[in-house]
Amino acid sequence: MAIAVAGAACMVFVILGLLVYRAVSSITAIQFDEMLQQQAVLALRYADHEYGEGETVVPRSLTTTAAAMPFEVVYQIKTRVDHQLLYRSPGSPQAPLAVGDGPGYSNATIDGRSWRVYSLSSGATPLVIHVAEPLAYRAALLSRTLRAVALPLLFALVLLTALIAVVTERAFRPVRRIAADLAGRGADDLSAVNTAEMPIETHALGVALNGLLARHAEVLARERRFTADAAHELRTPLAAVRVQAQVAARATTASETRRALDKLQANIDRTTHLMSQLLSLARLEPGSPCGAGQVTPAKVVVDLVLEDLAQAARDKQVEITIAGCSQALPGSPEVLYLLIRNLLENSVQHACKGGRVALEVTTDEQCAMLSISDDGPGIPMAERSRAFERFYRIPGSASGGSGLGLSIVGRVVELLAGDIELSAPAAGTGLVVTVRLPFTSVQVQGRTAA
Amino acid sequence: MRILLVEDDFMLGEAVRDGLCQEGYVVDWVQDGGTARAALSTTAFSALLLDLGLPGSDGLSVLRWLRQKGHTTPVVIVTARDRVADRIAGLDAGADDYLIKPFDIDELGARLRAITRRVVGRTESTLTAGEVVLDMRQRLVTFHGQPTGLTAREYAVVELLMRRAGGLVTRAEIEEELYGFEDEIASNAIEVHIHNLRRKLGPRFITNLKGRGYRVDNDR
Repeated sequence: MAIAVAGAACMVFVILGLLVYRAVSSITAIQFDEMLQQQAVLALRYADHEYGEGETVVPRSLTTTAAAMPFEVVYQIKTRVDHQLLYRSPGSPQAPLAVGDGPGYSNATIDGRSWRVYSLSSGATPLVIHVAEPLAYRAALLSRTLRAVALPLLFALVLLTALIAVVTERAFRPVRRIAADLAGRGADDLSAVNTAEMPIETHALGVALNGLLARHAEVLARERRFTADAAHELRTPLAAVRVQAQVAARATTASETRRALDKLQANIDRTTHLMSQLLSLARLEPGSPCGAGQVTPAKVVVDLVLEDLAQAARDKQVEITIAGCSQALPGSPEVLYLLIRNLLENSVQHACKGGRVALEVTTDEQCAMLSISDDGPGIPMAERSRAFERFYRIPGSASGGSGLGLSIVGRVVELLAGDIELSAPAAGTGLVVTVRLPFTSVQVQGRTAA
Repeated sequence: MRILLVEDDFMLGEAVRDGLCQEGYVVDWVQDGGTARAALSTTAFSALLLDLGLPGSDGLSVLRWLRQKGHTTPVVIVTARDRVADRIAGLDAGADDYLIKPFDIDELGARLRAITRRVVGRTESTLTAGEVVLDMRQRLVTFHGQPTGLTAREYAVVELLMRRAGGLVTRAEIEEELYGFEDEIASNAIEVHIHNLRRKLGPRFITNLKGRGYRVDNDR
């Protein structure tokens, strides 16, 4: 990272250097050329003037002018008609500097030396002047200027590279530390990483990572708890199945065998029910799909549940009454089935023999209310808060239930963002469960559409 | 042998009770810690089968309470808790054995025999009185080397008498050994059992100490 940034900085500086070089060289060239031209105009004016007054030797004025110039300027003056050299300044080559009469610039190489030449001829007199300057002089000046610019640039480049290296090293030190921490971890170490020293640019990443780790740890802990609980809770029914099977095998009379096999069957049914309740609960993990934007007619679900519970209700001679089933309920048929099935199953299980169970559905603008009541022993006030715990069974109840019914109900209510209340009926014994399920805005539209 | 079974699960309790009855044990079955304490306070049991996860008071607290009161009744913990730490806690609290669900009813029977033998200080599994030999492992009684075809209750009477050979066993003790809380006992039930045993094992096997009880003499 630091190397890449330093490399990019070097590139930028090289490009910057090239641009400066081009700008400086073209500007100096133009300036030098302009001075060369001014020199030519000035010299030619004097020469013209003096030549016009009959002096054939180019006068001193030019020499003094040339001496005053800060350049190594040379010139040649010749007649325009026969190109006869009238004068050449000291340092000027023997050979003519240019062939044409001008005006204009040209380059010439004479005796290995390169010259920049400006030629000019006057209209009034038959004279031509070639003013020349060695290109080497220009190059030396240019390189001096460039050196003066390049040194601070180079210094800045080194400083910047070092700064980038230090800053990136410091900025990514916490990231490297976290990487080392994560790399050295076991599969189930989901503790938070240390974000204390992270700079602001990477701090958000650390916080997000910790959030993910925390959520993952929670899910893992829940799964483990669930698996441990499930394994533990399966041991007792399996023990009963096993012992009952042995009892059946050892029975000596047909009626004894019959009785043991009936009990074995009941045991297997109970274990199967426990398994399916466990699966239901596992499917209702927080965040599971629950039909957030969906409504389901209560009748569809209630009919299914009544069909399932018909036998159990007949066996116990429990009468189930249903009211308000024309309403629509918020949520998918799957979760609503689990909700109503477990509530009614609980009620039938705990109702008195020959007793009554009632389900009433009411809805208003915001929510649907389900009220399920039975005439069983109810749940003592002190136990009500624990009733939603997994595998909780009311002490002394011989129902042989899985202890998961109300947990499943509680989970569905949670998924549907509703609330649930356990209470006693106004008169007599029993349990009244009141569930309130709110409609989301999408579901409200669904209701009117339906 | 009279056993107290403490198990809150209805179906498992029923199955274990039925299984042990088949082996000739008398089983009293209670479903919570409080009732278990009440039963242990009033009745002498040959062994206690204790589930740990009980409603109300935990099985371990029942066990600690029992040992605190000085009862030496052998205890087998029968539980779904399978962690080593749980087993150590159970044995530390005074359990004689620890059985993890699901278990084999034959295994449970063998463990029960082992710990009751341990309590009476015997390591072999046969008892002998004259020509009568009782094999506790097979729950079999032979007379002159022949199988005798005793019923479960008859076997229980013979085992009780032979365990305490040379000593007096009262009629009430036999009743307690043979019948649970809920069993109806006919007034002459014990006499009928004794009568049948004399028929099957010879008239001199059991001595009747009129009005006090019964005795089987030590092996001479």
